[in-house]
Amino acid sequence: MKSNIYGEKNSIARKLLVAVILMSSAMTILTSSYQLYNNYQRYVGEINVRFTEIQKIHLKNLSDRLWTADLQALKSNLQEIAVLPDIQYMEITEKNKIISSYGSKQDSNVLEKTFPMTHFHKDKEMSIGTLFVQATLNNADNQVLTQVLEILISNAIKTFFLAGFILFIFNYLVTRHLHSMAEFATQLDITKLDSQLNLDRKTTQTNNPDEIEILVQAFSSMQEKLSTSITQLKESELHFKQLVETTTAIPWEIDLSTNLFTYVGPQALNVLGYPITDWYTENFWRDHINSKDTEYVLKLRKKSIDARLDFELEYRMVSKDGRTIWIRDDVKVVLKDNKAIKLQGYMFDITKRKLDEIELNKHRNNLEKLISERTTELIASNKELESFAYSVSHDLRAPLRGIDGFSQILLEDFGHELDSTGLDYLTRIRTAAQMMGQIINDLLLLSRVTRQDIVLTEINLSTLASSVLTRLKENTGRNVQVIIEDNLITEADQNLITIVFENLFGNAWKYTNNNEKPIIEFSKTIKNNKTYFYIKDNGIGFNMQFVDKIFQPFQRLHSSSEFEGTGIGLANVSRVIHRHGGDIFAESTQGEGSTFYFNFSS
Amino acid sequence: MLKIFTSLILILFSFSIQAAKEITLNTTGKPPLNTPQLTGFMDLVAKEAFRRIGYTLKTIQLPAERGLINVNAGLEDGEMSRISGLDKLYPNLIQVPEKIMDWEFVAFSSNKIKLNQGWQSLLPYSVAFINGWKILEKNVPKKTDITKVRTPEQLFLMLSKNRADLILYERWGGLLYTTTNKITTIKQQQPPLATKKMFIYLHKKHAALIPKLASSLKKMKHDGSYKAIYNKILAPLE
Repeated sequence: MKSNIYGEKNSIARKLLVAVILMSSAMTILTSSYQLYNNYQRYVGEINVRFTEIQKIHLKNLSDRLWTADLQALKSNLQEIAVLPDIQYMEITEKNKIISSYGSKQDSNVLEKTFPMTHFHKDKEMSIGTLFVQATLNNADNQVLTQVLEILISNAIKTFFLAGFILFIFNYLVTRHLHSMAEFATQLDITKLDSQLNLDRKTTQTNNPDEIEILVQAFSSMQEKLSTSITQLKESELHFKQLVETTTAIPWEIDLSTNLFTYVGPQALNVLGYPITDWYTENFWRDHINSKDTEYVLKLRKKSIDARLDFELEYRMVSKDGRTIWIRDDVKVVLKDNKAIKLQGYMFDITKRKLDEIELNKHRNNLEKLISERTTELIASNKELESFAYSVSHDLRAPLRGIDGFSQILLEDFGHELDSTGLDYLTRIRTAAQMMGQIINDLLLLSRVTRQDIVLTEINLSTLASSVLTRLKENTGRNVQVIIEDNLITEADQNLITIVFENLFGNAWKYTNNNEKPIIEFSKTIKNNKTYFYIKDNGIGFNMQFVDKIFQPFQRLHSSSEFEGTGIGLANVSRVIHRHGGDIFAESTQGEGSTFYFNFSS
Repeated sequence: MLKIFTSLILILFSFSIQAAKEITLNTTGKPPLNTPQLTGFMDLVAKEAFRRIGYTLKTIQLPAERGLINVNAGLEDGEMSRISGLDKLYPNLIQVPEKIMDWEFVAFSSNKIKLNQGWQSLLPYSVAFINGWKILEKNVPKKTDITKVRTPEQLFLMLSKNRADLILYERWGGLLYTTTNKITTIKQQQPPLATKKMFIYLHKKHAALIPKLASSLKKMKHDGSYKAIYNKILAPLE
């Protein structure tokens, strides 16, 4: 593990070395460039100062010489000026003709300046020529080049020593300890997590440990946590293994790259009888699917894997002793990078349930057949009965009308010949005949209610209630306080609902007869989370003990002498409500009144 | 001992005889009056004059002031041509009473200029002359626009470039320049502004030669040799 830290390409020390060299070089280049630029500019500035000197000190003299055509003196003056540093070449031109020059002209890397030469003659300044001065920048370049070399060499030496020093210090303080830690970590085994990391360094005895000490402490802490975690993991693994393997379901896993089981729960032995090792052999599972189910199972499996969707399937397998075992397989498709790589699942032995289902299906089929036969018979019988009831009721009305009619004639034509007893008997005959006629009408109504087709329309129940109660008031002349909630709307058959309202409001009207301040209320409420209309009165009420009887035909809770009626009205109401798919019930307190709740669609 | 002393005297005497045969004069003149090869008018006149009294002539060219100082100090034997009266300033110099020639200080110009009022005639003009020429520095009116130069070439260049209206120079030097350079536009203006007699000066150590030399010069003027030299050197320039 130990190696030369300086030679390793990815070592921190090497990276640090490179970074120090690069940074130092970059900074040096930057600052040096700035310095060199300044020096160069200063040098250029000095040349410009020389130009100014020439202009201020020599130009007048040269102009005088030129004016007096003193070529020798001009030459000599130019020679004097040429002594100035960097002055490379000068020439004096008169009317575009070079009068005098000195030095050799340079083509490039020069600074040039041309000064006009004048002379005052007869109080007038005359232009007599130009002085062209060329200064070479070669010396500036050389100076900068020399400085560059000096800076580069000094920087290289400085960087070399600085980098070496940093490298040495970094290695002494950090890198060698990192290597020790890396070596320690490499040799660390989960079975030997109690070994200690010791570094070759002084430990500070203060409350402010340095980074390496913090790292060592973190290492120790990590070891402790790792040890605890591994222990917990082992316990957890054991726990889950026990949990998984003690269920009746068979957990399993298949690697799709090899199509081999990578795990099969031990329960498989109990369910199918094959040793667990057999399951890990090639095509074992497939070869033990009932041949009738193989194609379906493999197709569904492939389809689900392609779609990357979990799936459930039921199929039969053949056990080692030749029995058919029904299996329900709950399969999860495990994905990696959106590609199915594994299948995990549970196989449940559903043989008993499956056999029960088959048996149950058999019985259900028989039952359905039986019910169908009975229903057909019942419908026929019912129709026959309804037809009979209608015929009987209809046929009974004619003789009843005869009895009532002739009793009336007898009363009118021979009433004066009968004594009071006879008249009483005759009156009773008529009353009985009329009562029987009413019963027959109600029975016919009941029959019609049962058979009539329902035509649904939107009905304003508040309006209907109001008209029914108005009619009752007109017929009886009683004053009853009526409370109707506005705009109670529903969808129902108009004729049948009128029958319902006539019966319910008729009863309320009738049973409040004895009350001095009768009140009838029609409104809407919520009961058992359902909306109900209700008709409430403060009449005599009834005993809730008999509440189940009130909707049955011919069941009366009061004698006809107290309150007239046939006992069929509420049976009709209940039948209409139920034919609308609705529900009806009543609440009552004797002496305080009754409330009937109903709706048309539960 | 006597022999040695006698030999020394003889050697010194022989040197003294040899030195007296050659005279070195300082000249400030320019062609056609003086040349380094002693072919100028004054060179030839002086050479002949000295030859007639037994001396050969040698000349050196020194600046005007330096020449006087050197001759006064005895470093050279004399001056070729100077104005009269310098012996008052340089006591070791003795003037040869016979003039060697007249120097005429004239104006040259591209235009015709009237100089009837002498030096005052120069006032309206820009004038150039050679620095150090005392007679000009002294006589040209101070208010004149004056440009002083070092060489005669400069004078004529200034004139040709119209940087001066006229230039002041010694007549023969100016004529030689225009002739040699074939300048026809520049003409000498009349009359001369000044004419100065020029004399040879010798160091007082040569005082004995003064009368002989004066006589020699006078004879030359009489016997036509002076004229012959004039005709040869100066007359073609007129």
